[in-house]
Amino acid sequence: MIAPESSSKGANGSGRLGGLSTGSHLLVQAGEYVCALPLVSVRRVVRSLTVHPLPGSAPELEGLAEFGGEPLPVLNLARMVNAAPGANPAYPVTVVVWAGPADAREIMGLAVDAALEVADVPSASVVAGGGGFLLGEAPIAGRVVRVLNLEALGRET
Amino acid sequence: MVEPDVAARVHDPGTPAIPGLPDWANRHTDNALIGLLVVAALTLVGFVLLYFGGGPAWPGFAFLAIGGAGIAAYGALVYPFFRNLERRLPQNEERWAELEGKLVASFEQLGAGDLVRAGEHTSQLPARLSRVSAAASGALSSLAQQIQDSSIEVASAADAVNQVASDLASGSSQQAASVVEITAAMEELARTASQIAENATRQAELASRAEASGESGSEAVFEAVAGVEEVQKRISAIANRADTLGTRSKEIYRVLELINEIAQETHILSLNAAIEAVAAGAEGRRFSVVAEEVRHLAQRSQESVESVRNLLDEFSGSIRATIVATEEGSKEAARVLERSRAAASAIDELRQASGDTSRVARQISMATQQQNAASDEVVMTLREVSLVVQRMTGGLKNLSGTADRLNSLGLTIQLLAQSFHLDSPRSLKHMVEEWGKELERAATSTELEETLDRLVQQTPFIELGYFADTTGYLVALCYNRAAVSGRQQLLTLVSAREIDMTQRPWYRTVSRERRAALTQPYESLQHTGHVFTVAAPVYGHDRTFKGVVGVDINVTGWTRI
Amino acid sequence: MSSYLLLRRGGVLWGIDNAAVTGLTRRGESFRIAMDGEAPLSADEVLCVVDDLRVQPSAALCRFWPGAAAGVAGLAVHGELPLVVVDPRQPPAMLRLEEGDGTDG
Repeated sequence: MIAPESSSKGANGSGRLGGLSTGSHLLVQAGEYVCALPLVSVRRVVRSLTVHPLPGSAPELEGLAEFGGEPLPVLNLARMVNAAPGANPAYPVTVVVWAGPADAREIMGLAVDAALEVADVPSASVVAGGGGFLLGEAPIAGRVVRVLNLEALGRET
Repeated sequence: MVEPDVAARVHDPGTPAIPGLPDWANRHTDNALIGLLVVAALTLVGFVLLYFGGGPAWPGFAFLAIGGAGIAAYGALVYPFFRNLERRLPQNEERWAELEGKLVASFEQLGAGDLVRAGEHTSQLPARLSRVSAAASGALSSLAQQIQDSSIEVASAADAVNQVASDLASGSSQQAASVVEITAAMEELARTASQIAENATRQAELASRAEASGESGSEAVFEAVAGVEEVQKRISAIANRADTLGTRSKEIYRVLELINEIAQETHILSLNAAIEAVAAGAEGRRFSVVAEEVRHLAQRSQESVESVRNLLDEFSGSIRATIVATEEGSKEAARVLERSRAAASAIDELRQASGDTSRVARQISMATQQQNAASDEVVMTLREVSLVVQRMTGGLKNLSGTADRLNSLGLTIQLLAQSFHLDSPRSLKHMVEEWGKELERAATSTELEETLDRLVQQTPFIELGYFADTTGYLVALCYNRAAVSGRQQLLTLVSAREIDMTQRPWYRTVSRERRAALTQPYESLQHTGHVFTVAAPVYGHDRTFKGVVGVDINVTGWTRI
Repeated sequence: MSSYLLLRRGGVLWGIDNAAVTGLTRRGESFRIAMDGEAPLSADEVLCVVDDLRVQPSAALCRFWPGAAAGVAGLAVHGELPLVVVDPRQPPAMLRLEEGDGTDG
């Protein structure tokens, strides 16, 4: 069940959630990993967007896409989390998220193999990782889920 | 041995009416006497008429005148003539006797076959008589030479005939042997043909049975082919239905894909709804429940789709397997059908071949039967040919015997012709007499022997030459080395001197008649076959008889004379 | 409101301040874009000039595309196509005209 949490998001999705990420998360399949994206940072789940590659860009950056009239850098989440490739995704999706620090959030797309479900991730269950983009790992429904911090997405190099 | 027959003496005493008178005189003496008698009769009639007739006197005077003239003419002309003739008569008789003697001598020589000496005598006759005699002698000599030549030709022809007959006989013998072989082969062929006919008949029966079997087999194969075709149709129908099922499966797959996509979209929609619900805060709680339900619905849809897909996969697998099986079955049915049709075609061909074989076998049987009959006829004909060949061989042998007899006849005729002493190099008597004249010039026995040897060597048809003196002593014996080459000379001069030559027929005839002589063929003392001898007297310078020279001629080489 | 020249280069849709463009010539199969006071640029395709382009900065782009980060002004969308808006003063290297890029047409 999804634990309801109160949160607010600005018109441009630049809301802020203080402290550790807690509450509902969108579980996605990225390669062989299952990652949890804080639902407050998730704007939309859409079918894989058409991506226009940028020559010379990092391998994590798949390219540019268009969503709702806005330009969208699309990142490959599996590469972001260094996941080994999994089975060929049957129905890959792009998760449109707000990423980056709260004062400089930008909308971007995360290409994943599948969007699984919305699940509640108790903060107590999160085993802290190195910090930064990978917040930690938590057991959710019998599997290890990598909890991600999208606010740190712009900070990491 | 036959003694030579000395020339028969022929004597024809043609006596004229008055000896010593010429013919015309002898022809007219009778006419003169008759004329004298007529004149005397006329005179007598005239006298009778004149003195005893009562009519005119002039007939009597006429008769008297005529008679008197006749008597006067007789006295003045005829009587003196005949008186003159009577005076010449003894001279004529003497002359006639001389001529008669010469003529008789000539005829005697002619009767002895010595035309040369006969010519010597007739040359002393009056010219006309000499010419006629010479002509007659020449004609006879020519005839004798022609007979010699003809006899040689006859002998040569006989030899040729003999050779041809011998060759033909040899060929006929070979032909007879070949005919026998052919007859045996034809009989064997006839036996073989009979066996072939029997085999062909059996083969025809077997082929007929095979043809019948082929027909029933062909029917069975045709039924099998029809059955396979039916199976193939059923399999094709099954394949079509499986194909249809496969098509339906694909449609179901598409529907499932659509449902799956809808489920995916629904899932995403539920997630977005949950997202919005969270964003809505407390007001979105119920909505998040609904979103969750929708997500579950989508999940169940996906699970159902997956389940249906699995079932459909199984179904599709079965369909594919069925399709594969039907395809395999169809291919196999097609192969079986093709093989069945091939078998049907082969059986049909076999049936036709059996029919053809049966027909051909029957034809072979008939043909061999005809061949059998023909072979029998051929065998009969060959047997007749064999008989003809045998008869021909016998005839040829007879012909050969006839040729031998002709040859012998030719020799007999030659000897008959050679019995004449002609003035011709072909005349053996003349040749040997000439040898005798050459031997006369020999002064010593050695010279005589050398002369004789030379003469013998230069005469190829002479086998042996010899000379015996008046005591029968064999002075010389010379062989023709070319003629006797390779043969043993059984008779030598020494051994021949043991033989009393005076008893030899040739010696006796020559010494008696002092003319060339020719013997009939006799067994040679050399045992080299038959020979005949030509011998002639040899005289000395004083014309005294010195001995006899003789030559032996082998009868096998007489045609070289 | 600025107008932007939209062009395509290396498969990327670019936008550049049209005011900085002084000339446009064809060079064989490509285009030469003369810049005001700057080195000329090269384009595979020149699309159009647009006026209503809303440029949004993108830190992620700069982070994950360091080779072009210095010259990127931001991102925009035109006709449902995303494009990269560049700073005309320091355009990315892949936009610069190289020697041998076609010939003047």
